[in-house]
Amino acid sequence: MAVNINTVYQTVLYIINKEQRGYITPAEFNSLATQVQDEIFQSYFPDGNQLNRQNQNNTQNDTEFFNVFKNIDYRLYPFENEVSFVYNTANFVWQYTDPNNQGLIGQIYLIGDIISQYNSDNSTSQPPSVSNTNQNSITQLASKKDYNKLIRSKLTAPTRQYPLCFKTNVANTLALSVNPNPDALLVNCIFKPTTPKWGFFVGSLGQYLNSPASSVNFQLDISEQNNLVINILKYCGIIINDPTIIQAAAQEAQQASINEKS
Amino acid sequence: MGLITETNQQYYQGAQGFSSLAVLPNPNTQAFIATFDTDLIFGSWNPTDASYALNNFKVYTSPTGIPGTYSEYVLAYTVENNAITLTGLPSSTKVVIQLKVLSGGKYGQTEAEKAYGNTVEDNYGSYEYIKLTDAVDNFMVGYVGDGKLIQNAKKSDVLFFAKRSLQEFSYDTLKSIHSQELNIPASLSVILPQDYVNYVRVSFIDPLGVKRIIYPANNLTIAPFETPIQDQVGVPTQDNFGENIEGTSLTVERWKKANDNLINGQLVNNIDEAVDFQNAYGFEGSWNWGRQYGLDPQTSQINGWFNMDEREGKMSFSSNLAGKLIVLEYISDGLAYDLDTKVPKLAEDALYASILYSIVSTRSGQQEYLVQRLQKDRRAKLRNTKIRLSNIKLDEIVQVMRGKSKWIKH
Repeated sequence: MAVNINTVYQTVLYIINKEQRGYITPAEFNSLATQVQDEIFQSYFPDGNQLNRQNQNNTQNDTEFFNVFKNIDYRLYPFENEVSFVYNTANFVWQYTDPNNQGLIGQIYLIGDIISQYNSDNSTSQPPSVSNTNQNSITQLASKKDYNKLIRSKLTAPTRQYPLCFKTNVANTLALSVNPNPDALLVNCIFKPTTPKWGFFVGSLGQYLNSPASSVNFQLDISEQNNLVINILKYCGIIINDPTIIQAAAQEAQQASINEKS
Repeated sequence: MGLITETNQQYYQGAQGFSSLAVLPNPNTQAFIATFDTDLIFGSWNPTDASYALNNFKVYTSPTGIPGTYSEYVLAYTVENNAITLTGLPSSTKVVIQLKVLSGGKYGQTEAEKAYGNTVEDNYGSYEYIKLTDAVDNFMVGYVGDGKLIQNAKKSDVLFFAKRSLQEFSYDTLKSIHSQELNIPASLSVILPQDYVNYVRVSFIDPLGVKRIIYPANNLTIAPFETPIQDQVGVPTQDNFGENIEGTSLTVERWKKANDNLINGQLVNNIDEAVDFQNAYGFEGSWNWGRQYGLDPQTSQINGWFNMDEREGKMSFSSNLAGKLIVLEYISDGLAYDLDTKVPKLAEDALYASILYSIVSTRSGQQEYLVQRLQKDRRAKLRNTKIRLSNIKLDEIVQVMRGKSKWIKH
């Protein structure tokens, strides 16, 4: 479940307004919200890598809820989606075309497993190698250098069962060249978070009131609400020039990080 | 979940029955999904079309399902992803998909309707094997991942070492299942099979059907790889393109014309051959070739010889085998055809051990003790596999030993 942006904004305002320290405007808050969401999102990858060493060393716990690597992996679910790529016949590559025009789903941040789908082959070639079965094959993403080597070895040359692909770009967007060319391509992707926005309208007293209809909630999982508040507070302290808030928030964030990784 | 997914009927008869829906959907089509281990191969639905012969199955329908009421379905249908889609089928019609079988199956009423072929036979005994692709997938699941010896491995690496391992296994561990029955033509040579790597045994078949082993000529003769035409002073001559001009081999010609009896010792009561021998080797009180120094066991056999002609990619035979029926048993590398890429289940564990060792031993920074451990593991499993595949059965050994002087009590 996503984090409600109004809850975060009200909490932040409540904390920094204590002792009349200052006020954060909606525009400032929206900028900080975007920045902090990106920071938290991008921290998942190095943190996941670091915590995965416990898996590699067989020192990871097998509890249901206290396996931090598993928890970080879980927090990626809002950004994970298996999408179909579309074949670009002009450039002979597969590309992702955002059906929502970068609405709810933003741009691709990373690509994971690639599945090539091959339809039944009804050709009547001789000898009868005609197969009438569809195949869904895990496709190996290789660097162009490796790809060039792999296709030259008869033992590793790509087949419908073991397809190979490499990444390239067309018009500055990601493109995949798959060999043999499939009939459809499914790619498990991590997408960039959408930009959060605290929408508002001006009340009768000139105050800003939240408009849920024009708001965009944080895409992060609900478990990140505390981190969002603390990290936004950290930046708020800079804006209102209050070192005590910066220090308190930074300490809180650091403590949370240490606890998580130790 | 059991590994067998075919029903008894699918396996033994190669047939699968269906009943069309009582109320057909609209449009009036219905798909029947075949669940054989064998994929359906579809060329055409039309028996008059040449591609129809590509089909590895036939479709029969019956209004009642009573034996003797089935007839071949020869109207238009499509096949995709093992699903046969028929149109305009009366409700509750019984449908049978029959894979081609040597007996023709039991549904066709006429010879033309019978499903003759060997698709079903190809599947018999398949449970003995695992596909190489399945072995690769199993390896990725069981041996690659966080917390395992191989934290990560490219699938292409696993595939490479799996294929290499299968090649090596094919040479000296797996059963040799390839053989060809051939007639020796007047030219006394036959072309090597397309997937030939090395021979196991060559035999001619006598009138009783018993194998008589033919031995390699080894040092007796040779098929020269190059036979350059020489000028009067012995220098090879070249053609207009600067390449040596090749002639036919005189050695091969002489070998083809050779009287084997002069070599193998079959000179009894044949004075003409004795004279030939005298002309060839001189007559100094001994008879045959080699007998000057006593009988040579390796040449004292009447079955004949073969030798490899590497230049022409053929196997040549001695002249006494002209017109004879031979069986060439040989080994391939297990990768020649898709159907070949299967591994006996008795060798599955050895294959995993071999892939594991190959991957770890070719990686940098691996502890040597680990590499050594895996090498020993591989060797032990390979030895086990050889023993398993040798099919050593106590009862059979006892039966063989009964012919010997010593009895074995059991």
